[in-house]
Amino acid sequence: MRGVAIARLAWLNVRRRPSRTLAAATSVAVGVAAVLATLSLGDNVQANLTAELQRSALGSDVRVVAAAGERTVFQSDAAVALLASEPVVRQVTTRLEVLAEPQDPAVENTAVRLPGFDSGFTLVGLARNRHEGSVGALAEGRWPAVGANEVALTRSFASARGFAVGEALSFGTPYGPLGLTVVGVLEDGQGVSALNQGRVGMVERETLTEGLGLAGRATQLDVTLVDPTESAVEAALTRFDGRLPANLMALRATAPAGGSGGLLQTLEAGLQVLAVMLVVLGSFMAYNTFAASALDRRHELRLLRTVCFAARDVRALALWEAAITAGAGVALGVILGLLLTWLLASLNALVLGFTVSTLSVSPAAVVMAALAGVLAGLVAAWKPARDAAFDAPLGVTPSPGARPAAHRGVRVLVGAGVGLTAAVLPVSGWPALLAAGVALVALAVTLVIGGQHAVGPLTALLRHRPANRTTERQLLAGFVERNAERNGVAMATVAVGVGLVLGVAGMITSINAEVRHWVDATIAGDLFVTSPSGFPAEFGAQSEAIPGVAEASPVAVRVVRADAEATRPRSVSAVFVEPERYQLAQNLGGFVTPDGRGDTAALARDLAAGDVLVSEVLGRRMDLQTGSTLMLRTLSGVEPFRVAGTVVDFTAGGDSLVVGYSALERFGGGRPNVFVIGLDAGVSAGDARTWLRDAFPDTQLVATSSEQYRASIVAAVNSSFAATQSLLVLAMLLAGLGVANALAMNLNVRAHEWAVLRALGMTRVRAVRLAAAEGMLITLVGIVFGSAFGLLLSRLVAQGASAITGFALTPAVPLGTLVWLWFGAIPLGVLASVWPAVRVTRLAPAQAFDAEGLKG
Amino acid sequence: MRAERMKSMPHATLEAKGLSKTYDAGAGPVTALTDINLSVHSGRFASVMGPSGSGKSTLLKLFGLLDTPTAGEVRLEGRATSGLNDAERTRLRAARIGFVFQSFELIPTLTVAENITLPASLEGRLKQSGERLAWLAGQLGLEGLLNRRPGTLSGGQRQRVALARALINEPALVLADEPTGNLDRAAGLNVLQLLRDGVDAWGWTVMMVTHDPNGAMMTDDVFFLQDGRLVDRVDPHTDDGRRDLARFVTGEDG
Repeated sequence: MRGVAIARLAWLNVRRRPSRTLAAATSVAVGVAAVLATLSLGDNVQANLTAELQRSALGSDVRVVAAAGERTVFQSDAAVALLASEPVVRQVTTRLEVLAEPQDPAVENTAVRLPGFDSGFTLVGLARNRHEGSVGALAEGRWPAVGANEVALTRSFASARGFAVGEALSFGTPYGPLGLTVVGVLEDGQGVSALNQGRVGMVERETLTEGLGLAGRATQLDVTLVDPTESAVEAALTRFDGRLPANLMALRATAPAGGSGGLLQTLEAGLQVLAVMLVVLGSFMAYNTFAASALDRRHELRLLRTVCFAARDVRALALWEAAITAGAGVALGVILGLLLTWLLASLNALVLGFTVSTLSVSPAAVVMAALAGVLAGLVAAWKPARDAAFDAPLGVTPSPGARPAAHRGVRVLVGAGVGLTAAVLPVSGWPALLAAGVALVALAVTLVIGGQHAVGPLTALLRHRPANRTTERQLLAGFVERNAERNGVAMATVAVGVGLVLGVAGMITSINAEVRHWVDATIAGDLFVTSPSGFPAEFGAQSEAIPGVAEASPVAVRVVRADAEATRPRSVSAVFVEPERYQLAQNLGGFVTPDGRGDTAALARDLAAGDVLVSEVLGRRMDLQTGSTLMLRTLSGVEPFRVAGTVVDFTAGGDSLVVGYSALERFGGGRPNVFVIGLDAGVSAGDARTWLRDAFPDTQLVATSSEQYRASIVAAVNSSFAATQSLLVLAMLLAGLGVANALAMNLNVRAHEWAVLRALGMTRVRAVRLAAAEGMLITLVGIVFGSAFGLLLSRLVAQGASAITGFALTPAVPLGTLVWLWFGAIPLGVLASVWPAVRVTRLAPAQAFDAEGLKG
Repeated sequence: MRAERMKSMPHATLEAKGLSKTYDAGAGPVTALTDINLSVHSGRFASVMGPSGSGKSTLLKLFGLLDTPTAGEVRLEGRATSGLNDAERTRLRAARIGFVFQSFELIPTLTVAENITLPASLEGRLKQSGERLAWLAGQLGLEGLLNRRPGTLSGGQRQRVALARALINEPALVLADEPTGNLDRAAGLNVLQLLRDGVDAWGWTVMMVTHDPNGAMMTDDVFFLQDGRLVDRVDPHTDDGRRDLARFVTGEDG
C-alpha cells in the first residue's frame, strides 16, 4: 500500500516537473538512440543491400550463375530448357552482363578498374518485355528497341560522365567494341539501375548477343517460381543444385555475389565496442540530471523525511521517478534511434554507393536498447537516490557516520588493475575478445569513477604561482573543485569519447597502414594497364617488344570456392600472378610475409610448382598454415592445393589467395584483368602509355601510374570506414553533450552563487567567460586523459577486432586524428559551454536575495 | 557630529521618487511597491522595517540596481539610473554599492582576503586594494583571518568578512539585508555596532533591512513599509520616534 502511494507520488512529481523530466528523459533517450543506431547499423546496411539486390533481381526468385571457378559467360540453352521443364518454375529468362567502358575520345581515361576492389561499368542485356514492371523506370527518353543498337544509361552514370540522350557512344568490351546510341535515362535505384551500384547501361539482350558474337550465351538465368515462399525457394534451390550441370549453381535471387565482407566484419566489431561506450555516456547524462533533481529538491525530501518518510521511502521515491522518466526516455530514444539509424545508413549509402530504401531495426535491437535505457536510468539514479535517503530530517544535524564512505580510491585501483591485467593478457582468438571487452569496460568505469581525482591536481595547478593568482582563477578553481564529482565524470566522459575516437581511429590507421604496407611492398610496377575490351593473346610479348618497356606481367583475379577441413567452405578471391616474374627483384611486384622475414623467393618457387599462398586473414579464418591442404573447385572438380605459406594480401578485404598464373586455365581461364608493366630506367610512364596505346589501337587501353594505382586501392579501402567514422562523430558529440550537461547541472546547483557574483558586480561578459572557461577546462583535461586512454584503447579495439575478423592488426597511433582532436577540443569546449553560458547571462542578480534573503 | 555632516552634504546619496513595482505572478499582476518616495543622505544609517510581504526585499533590489522599477526612479548620488542598461548598472553597482547579505554569501573556495577583494578584482583594481584590505581588516578585527577559508569562521566573523567585502571599493552606499538574521545576539550586536561606528567615524552610508527593533534603534532613520507603501518615517533618537517604533513593532497602529 505504501509502495503504491510512493509510486503515485513519484508519478505526480514527474508530471509536475515537465522540464526536468524532459531533460532526464532526453539524456536516457540519447543513450538509447545511440545504442539502437549502433546495433542496427550493420543490419540496416545489410538490409538495404539486400533490398537493392531484391530490386536488381528483377522479380525473380532464383538466379543461376556460373559456379565459382567457372567461366562467367556460359551456354544457356540447355539450362534454360532444363529449368523450364521444372513444374515449380513459372518463367526463365536469360541475362547477359558484360564489362564495358564507354570510350570518350575527348577525355583520356586513366582510372583503371581495380580487380578485387572495383566492378567497373557493365552493360546489361535482357529481354525487357519479360521483366515488365520490375525492370525499373525511365527518367527520360525511351527504352532501347529490340534489334537496335541502343542503350539506356542510369541517371547517375549519365550525369557523372556527361552523356545525353541522342549521343552515339562506342563501348569497349572484352568481346570487342560495340557502338550504341543513348535513347533513354533510367531512374536510379530501381530495377536494372540497382545493379552494380548504378554503373550500368541497359540494352536488349539480342543487341549484346548479336553485337558481340555471344549467341546462346548468358551470364545469369533469372528464374521465377510458381510459389515464391521461403520454403518453396529453399526446396527449388536444392532440386536445381542436383539437376544443373557442374559449371552452374543456383542461388537465392537476393544472395550477394562472391567476395568478402572482411573489412565490414572488422568495422562491425568496432561498432559493437562503440555501442557499449555510448550507453555509458548516455547514463552519465541521466545521472547528472537525476543528481541535480535530488539536490534541487533536497529541502522537499528532508521535509518528507520529517513528516512521514523513512530513508528507504525517499530512495524508493527517487528510483520510481527514475524508472518513470527512463520509460519516457526509452520511448523517445527509440524514435530518435530510428531517425539516427536512417541518417547513418544514408551517410553510409552515400559513401558506399547503395540506395537507402528500407529502415531495418530488429526487435532484438529495440529490446536491447530499451533494457539498456531503463538500466542506465536506474543505475544513474541510484547514487542520487541513496544520497537523498541519507539526508537528515529537517532540524536534525546528520551524524558523521550516517553516510558510508565511498572507498572510491580502492575502486579505482581495483578497476585499473583488472583493466590493465585484461589488456595485457597474452591470449588470442575469442579469449582475446573477452579479455578486450573486460579491459574496456573496467577501464572506462575506472575513468568515470576516478575522473574526479583529476580535479585535485587541476585546481592545484590553477592556484599555483601565487604572484599570478587572480580572483577569477581562484573562482574557477573553486567551481571545478566544488563540483569535483560531476566535473570528474564529465572529464571522464570526454576522455572515454576521445579514447573511443582514438581507439577506433587507431584500428582504422592500423588497417590503412597494413594495406599501405601491402600496396607498397607488393605493387612495384611502373604502369598498370587494363582493357575493357580484353587484352590480345600476345599482349605481354608484344608490349615487351616496345623499346623502353622492360617487362609486362599479367595478373588475373577470379572468385573461387575454397574448402578447408576445419571451417565451412567460402568463396574467396584468387589472384593469379607469374611467380617467376612476380618478385620484387624483378621490379614488378612481390610477396610480403606477415613478419616481413619470410623467404619470398622460396614462396615464388612453391607457387610455380603449383602450391598456393593464402592471405594472413584467410589463413586465420580458415585455420590454414604452411603445409595445410586447401580444397579448391576447378574445372576438373574439387582439387587439393598445398598451402606454401602465408602472405599479406588485402584483395577482396583479405579473403584472398595467390595462385600461379599457369593454373588460371584450371579455374576457367580467360584474359588477365591487368598487366603490370616495368619500364627501363629513365622512361616516363606518360611516354610508355602513349606507346602502348599506339601499339594496341583497338584495345582501348587504360593505363595508370603506380602511384595512382596504389592510391586508388587505399581509397577503395578507406571508403569502407564511413560507418565507423560517422559513429565516431556521434561519440564526440555525445561527449560534448556530456560536458554541456555537467556544466548546466553545475550551474543549477550554483545558481544562487552566480547571482551573488552578479550582484557584487560581475558583468555578464565576465560571467560567460568564467562559465565557458570551466567547460574548456573540463574538455581539455578530458582530452589529455582521453589521449592516454585512447592509446590503450586502440590496442584493445585492435585486439578485439582481430579476434573477430582475423585481421592481424598492429595497434597504431592515429597521429592525424590526435592532432584533429586537440584542435577540435576548442570548438567542442565552446560548443559544450554555450548553453550553460547563455543560462548564466539569463540569471537575474536579484536572485542573490531571493534564495536566502528577505521575502517581504 | 551627524548633524554637522548632514549640513555639509550637497545631495542625497540615495533617492527614490515615485517608485512602484508590479510583478506578473501568473494569476495576474501583483503590486509589490507603490509610489515610494524617500531619500538617504550621505553619512546616514537608515533602516527599513515592515511585516513579511510589505515590499522590503523588492525595495532593496531596486536600490541595489538588481531590478528595475515599473514606475518612478532610483537616483544614486544624484544620478538617474532608469536609462542604464545591464552592463552599466553592473559597473555602477560594483563601483558604488556594497552588499551585506543575511546568509553572508561568501565564496567557500576563496580565502577571506580573496573574498574581501572580490569586488575590487571585478573592478580591475585588485592591486590597488591591498592598502584598503589591510585597513578594513584592522577596523573589523580580521587581521588574523585573512588566509583562512569561510568554512572555518564563526557566523559573526563571516558577517564581518562580508561587511569588509561590501566596503572594499569604498562604495557610496552599503545595502544590508538582515545582516544579523543568522547571528546570535552578541555577534549581531557586534556587527550593528561596526556599521554604526563606520557611519559615525568614516561617513559610510548604510541602508539596512531588518526585523529587529533593537537594530533599528541604532539607525538614524527608520522607514516603515506596509503593503508596498511607505507608511512612516521616524527618527529613533527622539522620544516620539522611539514611541512610533514601539507602536509599529507591536502592531498597535494597525
